[in-house]
Amino acid sequence: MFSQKTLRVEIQKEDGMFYEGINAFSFKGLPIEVGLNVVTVPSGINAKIKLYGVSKSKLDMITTLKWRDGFITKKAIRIYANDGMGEFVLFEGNIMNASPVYDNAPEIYIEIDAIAGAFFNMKSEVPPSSLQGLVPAPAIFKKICIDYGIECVVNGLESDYPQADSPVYDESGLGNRITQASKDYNVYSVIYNNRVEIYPKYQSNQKTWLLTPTNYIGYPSFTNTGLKISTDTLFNVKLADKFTIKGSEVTPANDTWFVINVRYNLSTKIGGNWFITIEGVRAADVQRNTTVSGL
Amino acid sequence: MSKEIQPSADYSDFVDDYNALIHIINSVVNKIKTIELVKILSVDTTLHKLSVIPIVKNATSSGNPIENVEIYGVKYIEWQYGANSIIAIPEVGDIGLCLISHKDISNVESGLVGSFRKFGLSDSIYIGGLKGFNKTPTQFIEFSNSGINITTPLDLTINSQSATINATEINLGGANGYNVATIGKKVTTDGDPSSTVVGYIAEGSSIVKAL
Repeated sequence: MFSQKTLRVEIQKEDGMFYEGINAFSFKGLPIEVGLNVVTVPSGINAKIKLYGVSKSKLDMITTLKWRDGFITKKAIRIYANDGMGEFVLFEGNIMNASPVYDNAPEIYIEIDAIAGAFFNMKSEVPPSSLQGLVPAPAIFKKICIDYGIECVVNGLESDYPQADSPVYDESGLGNRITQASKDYNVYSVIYNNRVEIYPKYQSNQKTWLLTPTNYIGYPSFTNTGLKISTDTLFNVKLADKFTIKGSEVTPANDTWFVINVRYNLSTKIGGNWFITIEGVRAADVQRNTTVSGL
Repeated sequence: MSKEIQPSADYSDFVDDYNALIHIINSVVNKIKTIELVKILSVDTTLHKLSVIPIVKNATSSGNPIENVEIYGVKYIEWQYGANSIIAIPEVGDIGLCLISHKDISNVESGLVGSFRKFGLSDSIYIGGLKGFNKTPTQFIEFSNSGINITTPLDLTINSQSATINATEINLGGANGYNVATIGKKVTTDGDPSSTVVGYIAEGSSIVKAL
């Protein structure tokens, strides 16, 4: 089915202006390439964006932003995607680096590295997050998020999560603190666009997507830990979801898998890519059917 | 580089692969906790646990202090070997050292880690006071080159099945005290050893008091 696929990129300076009266740029209708990697912390969701055909003046302002504002969280970037089903926010985060690439002049583009987390008013210099007594994992994640002034979404039931006694997290930075808590409690945590989400690992009651030869591209391929499969539909697949493959000629792939990674390769260049690749581990090997307590 | 994300980083850390590698290694090593200086905020003598607060604050790269918070569930030691022990209960306000365990020891009774956390501050053990940061002790046992000194302003009780003191001289009543009378010693008419002896001590008392 043919559908018009579009990408729109917004770059915004959250404090101050690029120049008088202008604090944001929006790019639409230009050739744009987006490589988006959805993964848990510590890497977190990260994106590489290539913007072609940007005027010299805007190129200079965007690529020198790093020298004019030391705070990553004040350099916002948003990516909107539309695969014909309506535009939605694909990514919202912060620019880590933006460089002009002149190698293929006159085809000049800006290459932007960004990390997820639209936490423009996130608190800095936050005291350690400490709780008293035996607490389930959601409590400490909520506490960390409250301390930083951001939203925390808990997926699944509280009883799906392990507990720990009197936890303390004194790492510097939200990402470090969330990463450490995730390791300690053995849960998935993902810094999505404007929030932190946590998931119990490999729970049987997670949402399951169905993939058949009618909605995936090519063939599933096996990895060291499981399997990869691609589709050109931008499913709202999340980490920790499950997907079931049915009808594949690669018969061992016809099974149910837990999502551990999602990669978007989207391009509005002529002949460019437009697909997502989902990587999973076999549910039968890792699934937990019972409520977790302790570890 | 954002201050809130990596306060210890410097631009020079990223201009060379080796510098970057060392920076990464340092950032990992710095997560290993060893000893924390703390002040005791509360004492639970039933659960044998404390709440404490570190007394040294971390600072941002710009030098601003980061406030510390209360840490719960800290265990404390008692110097004990077998059935032999020196007993002293920590008090609110004490300043001392916490050793931080590599593993989660909250569930130590079961013999299994309570979680996968490593070097958690609540997995620390208070081992005692830091000299010079606490009030002057009024009760103590002092070992020095001149001997052993046991001091208390309150009652001193020695519980024992039997007690033996091997000493050529026992002095009660302080620096100008009197020698203890023992069985077999002579008794004179006026207490002067050179006076007329009227008898000898034949039995002892269970209570000995200074004059």
